[in-house]
Amino acid sequence: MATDTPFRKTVFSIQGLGVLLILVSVNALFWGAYPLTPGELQDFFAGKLTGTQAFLLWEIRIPRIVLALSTGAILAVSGAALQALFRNPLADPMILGVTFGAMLFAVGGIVLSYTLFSWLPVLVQQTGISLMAFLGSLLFTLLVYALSTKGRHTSVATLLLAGIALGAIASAITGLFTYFSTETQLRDITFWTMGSLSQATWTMLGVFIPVCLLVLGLVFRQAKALNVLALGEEEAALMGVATQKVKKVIIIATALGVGASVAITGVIGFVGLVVPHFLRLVGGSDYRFLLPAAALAGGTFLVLADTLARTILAPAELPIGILSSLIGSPFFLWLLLKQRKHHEIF
Amino acid sequence: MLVAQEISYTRQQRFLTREISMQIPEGAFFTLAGPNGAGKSTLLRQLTGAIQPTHGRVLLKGKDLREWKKLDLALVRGVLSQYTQVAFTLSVLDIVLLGRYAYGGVETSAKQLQVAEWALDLVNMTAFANRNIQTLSGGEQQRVHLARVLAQIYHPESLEGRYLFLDEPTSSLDIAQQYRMLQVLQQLSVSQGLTVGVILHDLNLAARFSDYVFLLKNGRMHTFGTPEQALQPETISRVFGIPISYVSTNIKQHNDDLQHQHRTR
Repeated sequence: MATDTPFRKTVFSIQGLGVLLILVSVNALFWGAYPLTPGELQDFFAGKLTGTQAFLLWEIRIPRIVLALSTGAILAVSGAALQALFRNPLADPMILGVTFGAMLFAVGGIVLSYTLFSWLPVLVQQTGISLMAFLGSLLFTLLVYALSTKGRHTSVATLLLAGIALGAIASAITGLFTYFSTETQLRDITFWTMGSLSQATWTMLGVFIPVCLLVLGLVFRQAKALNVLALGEEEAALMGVATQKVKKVIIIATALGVGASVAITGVIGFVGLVVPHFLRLVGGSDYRFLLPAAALAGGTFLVLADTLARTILAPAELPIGILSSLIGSPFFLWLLLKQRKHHEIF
Repeated sequence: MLVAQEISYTRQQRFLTREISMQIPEGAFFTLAGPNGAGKSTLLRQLTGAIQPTHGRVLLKGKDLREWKKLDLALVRGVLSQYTQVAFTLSVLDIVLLGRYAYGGVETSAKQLQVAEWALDLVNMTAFANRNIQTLSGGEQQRVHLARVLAQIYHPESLEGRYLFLDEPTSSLDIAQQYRMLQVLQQLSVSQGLTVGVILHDLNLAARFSDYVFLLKNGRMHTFGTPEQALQPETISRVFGIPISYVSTNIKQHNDDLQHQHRTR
């Protein structure tokens, strides 16, 4: 960070990010295993497109883009909110092990639904798996918080190590499930651990989008309180912030968001790390800007990544979880080195 | 009025402060002093409501601090902690504006900006308003946080009935800034009725600025009174365990002369 230049807001306004999101989303409509032409798209919006292309757009491509938008928004906002809670820009649902907690419980849910509860309707099973994922992420958020926070102090080293340990435990148990699972279960589980947006359907979005809106609403309302929390918990309390309540809201909301998104898309990491950090660099850390900006930029990021994932190997597609890790992990390393340089880690 | 009634604070069966009673009239400037580990910070944190005494109670305006709502308390008392680290890149102005958090629902942002500017001016940091807080020196950061708590307790007419507590506010300031900071606080206390409570290590500063000095030792109140009463050489020797003798330089007269020269220059 330059020391002497005035430090101020950015060219990245909320409106600008909104426009970018629309452009990227519309662009994504064209791309895929079956590229569409602008003419076909025009026909579609005029209601004149029929047959395979119409089906492709309405039943596959559009829901998928909507899912990418909402998942990206939830993950980026959850990341930003957890960073405020832990007072550290390295916090991310996946790095804290929360995503793996959700994955473990979701996979547990899959195994259960194939064995004990296969007589239940699919929608009930799906909901059950989502609820399990929520419980998993809630439990892991609470665990990592309890492990890394002692009194007034959250140790970054402990935080990262606790995240690694919890992630490893969850992955190991998930591995056990994999080992003992049948062929079909295995396919499902593998899909989960790599992350994919290909499952998008309107029915699923009908459940997911309200959850997303609820989570965003809950978190956005805490924007000011999260700003004060940057000074530390005791300070924030002395300044009138109901810290216990804010913490509860953030933990439950992010667990709900991460749980729901993992239940549908599997493990997609680093969005919550990369997007907020980029925004902090260009626009500062005022949460009244950061949260809505993270929602928009997170959505944009994931749509872009997904467009890439389903075109570079077309007609096959790269799991988006792998792509986001390929982009995110070097970035995380870079961030770690940067923080080390400033002696902020230990 | 701020009243502490026989407050004790224990942790792992050890008394950090023990059976301390205090009565602070509104508008007073008081100092807590004593050796390291005497319990000064623990006592101050009990007076601010940051922690609850294990025994006894603290009454602010006649009401037990436990019964105050956090938000109501934030409207009348500010606390400058010894060490505040900002986790993210926020500008100096952003930080000072955070001080007005408790007024969020009732105050326009234009008004809040005015208050923040007033506070930045008081600590002489106006020129730094747009700087990233993380790029400032320790002393500069401390002044920004002072501006933040000043913004928190600001009132347009009078600061009567408002309280400001500061834990070693001068620790990373140079001697000129130490003096300036305490002068600002004294001014607000004398002219606007703000009640100020500070922890200081420098007994000369304590003597110069305080109405009352409280000397702590081993978690107990050892001596208190006006600076003349509390800061006797024998008392200081007993509290700190070092030989002390009093050298009169008539420093107050000297200071007043200096100030006079400064003004007439």
